[in-house]
Amino acid sequence: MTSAAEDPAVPAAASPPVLRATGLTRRYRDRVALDDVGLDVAAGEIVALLGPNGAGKTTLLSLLAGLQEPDAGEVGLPPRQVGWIPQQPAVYRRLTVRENLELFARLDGVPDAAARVERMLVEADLVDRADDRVGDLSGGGQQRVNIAVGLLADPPVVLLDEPSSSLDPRQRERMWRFLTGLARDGRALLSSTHDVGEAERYADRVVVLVDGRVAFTGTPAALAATAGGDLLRAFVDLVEAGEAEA
Amino acid sequence: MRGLLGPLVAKDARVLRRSPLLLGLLVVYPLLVALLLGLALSRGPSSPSVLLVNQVPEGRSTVDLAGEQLDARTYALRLLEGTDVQSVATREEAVRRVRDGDAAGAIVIPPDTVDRLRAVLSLRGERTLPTLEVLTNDTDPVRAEALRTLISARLGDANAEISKRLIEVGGGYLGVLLQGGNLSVLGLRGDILGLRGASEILRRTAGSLPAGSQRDDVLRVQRFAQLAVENLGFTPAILQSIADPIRVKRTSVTGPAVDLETYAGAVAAAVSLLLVAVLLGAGLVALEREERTLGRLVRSAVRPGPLLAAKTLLAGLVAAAVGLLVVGGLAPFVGLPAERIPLWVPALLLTGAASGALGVALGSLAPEVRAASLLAILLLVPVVVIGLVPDGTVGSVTGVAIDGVTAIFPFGPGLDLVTAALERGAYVGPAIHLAVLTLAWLAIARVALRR
Repeated sequence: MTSAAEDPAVPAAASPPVLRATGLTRRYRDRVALDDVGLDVAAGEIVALLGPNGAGKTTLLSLLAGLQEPDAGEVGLPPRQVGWIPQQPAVYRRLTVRENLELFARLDGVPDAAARVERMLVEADLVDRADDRVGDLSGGGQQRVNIAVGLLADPPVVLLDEPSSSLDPRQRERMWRFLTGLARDGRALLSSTHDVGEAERYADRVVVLVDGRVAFTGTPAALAATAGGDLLRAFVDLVEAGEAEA
Repeated sequence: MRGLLGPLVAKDARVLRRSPLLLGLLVVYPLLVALLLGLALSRGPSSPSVLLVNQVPEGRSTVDLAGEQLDARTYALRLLEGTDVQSVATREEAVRRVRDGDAAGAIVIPPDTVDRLRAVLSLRGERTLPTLEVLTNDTDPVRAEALRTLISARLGDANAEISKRLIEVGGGYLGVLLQGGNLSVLGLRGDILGLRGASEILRRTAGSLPAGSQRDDVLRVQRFAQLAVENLGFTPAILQSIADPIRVKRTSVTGPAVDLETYAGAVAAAVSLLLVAVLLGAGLVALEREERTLGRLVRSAVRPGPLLAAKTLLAGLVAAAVGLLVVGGLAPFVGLPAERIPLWVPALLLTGAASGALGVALGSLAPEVRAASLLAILLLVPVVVIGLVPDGTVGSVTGVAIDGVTAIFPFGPGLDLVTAALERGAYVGPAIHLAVLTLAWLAIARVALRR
């Protein structure tokens, strides 16, 4: 992993990585969105991807999910084995919850699709709303459908792009309970977020991107320690230092 | 991969069924536009309203033309064939109503019209011709010009008819002068000897005279009379040819024209097909972007090509169904030949597919449904207008440009194919053209979707 700062006391991952990316670079015309970024995520680990707007978080997730091709670098896992959960629900609002799950299960070639759909309805706490149109659900409900669709193929790695950005605190709490349960089941989770507190509370590690480069990787505690235990202060200092360097 | 088309088409159909407003706009609006367009094309311009002021005194409006009574009012009405005629009492009223726009124009028959016409028909060399007055409201130049053109054409017809009758009368008089007989015109009454009889008498008289200058004079007059008989005998035929000097023989070099009402039906079907398929195809692709599901779909086993093909298929099928509805609805009124019904469905499907592919390409360019619909409408209006411009009505450069535009969009070949399916015309050429356009627009959509 390429990083500007790292806590040597904490290993990158407790077990062998299931997702490994090396040297990822992506340019949009003359602008370099990502510059030689590497990343490991282990099974059962939750990694929070932090960074200011325009740091390259969404671009990195898009490359890992196979939505875009990198100009350089490699992703060590085929996109089909990576669950992708975009920031805004990417589901059909005029279809019911069940119809969405059934459709994507079929398109993803999920074996025993019917049983898998029923299981995801239970896991995402959507059984009671299964026959409601997604457009009729709350923001939190829609996000749960979004996550359930991303998990249909039972991927070992799940990528989440700011999954809690449109949710109220109670919905966030429910969503993170669900996500930590997934990690306990052995899935590797990489989630971008603007909420430093969320990262501190739920993430095993944080990766800070600044201006397309990895500025820090390590535990939240290690990052907080760089500013006297104040994680938010440490994050802001890191971003300002990185931007000044750039 | 083929097994994924079914779920995708079914999903889109389900989404459409649950979007009644969208479906209504996509289907009802094109249907209304198509029916209005068809209605406008199938009817010529409506009859203009024209006023008639007859100032000829009661009981003095007829004139004898070779034994036929010609009524001045009938003559005036003949000028106004193809118009909605209303009689008014005075010229002032006609002027007021034409100025107010109640009528496109008026025709005034002055009081001396019949007297003047009678004088002309007496063949006394009368030079003061009867003159009708035409009043027009020129604030609407198109309507005024249309009325002037109509009356000029009718006036030509009516004058030609009178000339013909006059020539017939003149020919009759000439026949009596040549052959002899009863004559009751030109101030002459009773039995006329005729030039032929005179020649015969002169010939006999000359035979009884002794040789000499008197006999020579009589023979000279007899030869003149004979010469006149021989040459004036051709005159009626010559006069007849002057009455109708040029005739027209019409030959269509492209085969017989399609019936106007059938053509209007084909236009209505082609326009509705085009609008439905393009709007639907564009909307279905743009809806994927709007729902942010495009990325999720292309990450799954669905490849962009089949995804676009599925949307083209659905758009084409719905559009063909709408086209069938239009054609089927018009069939009893237009009288479409039943034996051509098997040609309808392939024609409508091919036109729908090419139009759907165009819509899918537009949808691939647009970020969301409203932008896709706007883009489609902005493009389709000029495409339809250009597609309806008749060949040869514009300059060569513009004509080439129009041909080029018509060739790359499905409306022109679609209209040709539907017309051929309904009545007559080339079928295979436009069908191949549409198949090529379907593939070309799908390829463009594939490239646009990569953005």
